[in-house]
Amino acid sequence: MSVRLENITYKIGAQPIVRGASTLIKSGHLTVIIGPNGAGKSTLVKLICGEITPNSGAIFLNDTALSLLDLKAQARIRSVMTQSTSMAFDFTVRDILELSWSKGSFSSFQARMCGLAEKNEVRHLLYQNFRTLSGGEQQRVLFTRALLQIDEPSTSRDDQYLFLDEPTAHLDIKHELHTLQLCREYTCAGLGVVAVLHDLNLAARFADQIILMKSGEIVSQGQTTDVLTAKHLTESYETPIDVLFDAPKNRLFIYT
Amino acid sequence: MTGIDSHISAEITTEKPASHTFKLVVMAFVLALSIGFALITGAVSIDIRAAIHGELSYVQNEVLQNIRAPRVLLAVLTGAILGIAGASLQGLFRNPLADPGLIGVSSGAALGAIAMIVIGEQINMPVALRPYALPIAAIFGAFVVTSLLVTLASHKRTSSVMHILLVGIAINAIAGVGIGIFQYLSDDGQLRTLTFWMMGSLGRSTWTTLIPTMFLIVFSTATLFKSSKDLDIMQLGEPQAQYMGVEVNKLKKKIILSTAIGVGAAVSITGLIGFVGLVVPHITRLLISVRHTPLLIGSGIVGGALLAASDLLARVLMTPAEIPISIITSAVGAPFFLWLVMRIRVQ
Repeated sequence: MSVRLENITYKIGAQPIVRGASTLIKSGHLTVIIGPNGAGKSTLVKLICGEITPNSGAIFLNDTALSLLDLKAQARIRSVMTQSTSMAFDFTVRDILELSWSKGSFSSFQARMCGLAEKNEVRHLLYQNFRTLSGGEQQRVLFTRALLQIDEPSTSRDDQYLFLDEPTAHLDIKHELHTLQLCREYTCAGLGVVAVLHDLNLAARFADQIILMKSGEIVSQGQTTDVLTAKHLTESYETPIDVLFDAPKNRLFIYT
Repeated sequence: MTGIDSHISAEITTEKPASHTFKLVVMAFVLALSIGFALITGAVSIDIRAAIHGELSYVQNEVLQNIRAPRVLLAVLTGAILGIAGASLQGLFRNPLADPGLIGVSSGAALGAIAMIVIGEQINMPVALRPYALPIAAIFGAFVVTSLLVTLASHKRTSSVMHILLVGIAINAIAGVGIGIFQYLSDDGQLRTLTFWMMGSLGRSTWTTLIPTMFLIVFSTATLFKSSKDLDIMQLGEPQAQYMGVEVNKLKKKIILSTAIGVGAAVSITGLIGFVGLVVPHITRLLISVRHTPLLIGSGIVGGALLAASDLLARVLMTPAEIPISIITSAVGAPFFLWLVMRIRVQ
């Protein structure tokens, strides 16, 4: 199962925001989208998630054209965590998490909710007003909610996806690693995860596949070691960037 | 693992839903009390025991059945729909200051009403239709103005909430021009009728006008209740709601139009009643819950009780004269509104 983009172009007025993007996002993989500010990373996620419609090109969700799926059907296939949310009223964390419940037994949903809340260290916040939480705590709550929207992944079901737009923006280093480790656990169970990240070392450490964007185009994509090269990064970010292979840790180390 | 989870969930489920129900039952009891008080109190007082044993005089019976009962019922229905509509709109716009006036219901109804007051006399209409003329004109005005707002606001492919608010301000201003023109054209008698309509009164309630109004209010309430889960999800923001399967634009139309129908039906008889739609949802959020299912039910109950009590005040404060009800609701609501604005600014 996969999400497939074929030659996607999206313009605002005459200004192209995404140009001719084609890619294959596989289930069971952690795909990381990187690129400088204004590269079109968030727009690409919005296009795949159906918030905006491309001017040309086609998007397929598990081999079905996105335009043929209504919002409810899309919501069953993929879950999205946006960059931030501001609440107008005093919803508690629990109120927010329970929004992900749509069908099935409510008590088993609650059991899952508590388990995931525990894992993401928001269990103690369940009865707190969401608006009084710190940015990082809010982000962990929203991440938990996004996970709750999709079914418990299993190796027999590999048709669901999770999209995360800068999920670690407000997180401290511990929770940053924790969040991505949890994503890995889910990809191992068959879920497809797509994350927009700014931290290149995080991308190097966790990604199965990397999409590097610049000025609305995908300039390079594929295996981590193929995309994260000094040449690619220096050109894209217009800053001298070096890449080392950290042998003891068996991963790339990216620095300026 | 599953053992631990089920243990945790058991501990959680016992905490909240039960207390919502309990609070709602308490509120319903308060509503019943205020209905009871409103029925027996007034210029003609009615003894409860005599009423139960059927020992009321002819006058008392007439007052209870044909004056007070429809009046109290209208107060409860109007308060309920204003509260429910206010809660739905605040949820939809994710704005604690939203109220039915915002989407043009009030100005539309006022425009329809004043048009009928000023030019109605020149129209030849059957006597049987006379009692319905003003309500029909008001509800028609409310519906037209609100539909115009929905059409204009959804002209752009995705209508953002801010866009709707701004269109609302413009539409209300345009309706204001129409109201002004009719006011200028009206004579002293018409102007007086209009002024009293604008200040609101539940005294115009009769069974003939109440029954159709009741149907419209029940219809719009049912539609709004069905949207309560979607309104909860809307709190995460429009894009997120869409990602979670909510047809946001359809939801907006559904809520705005059913609000217009319900509120339009109510104010077509009562005239404008200020601040109920704004204040009631806030009281209910504090007392019961921010989630829309209990919030909408609670707003209906609180709104009904509040308006029945306000109308009682309007009737007894200066018996046998009557204070226009909007003066009472505004006297309570406007300071509350100010407090709300100050509180939001501090945050």
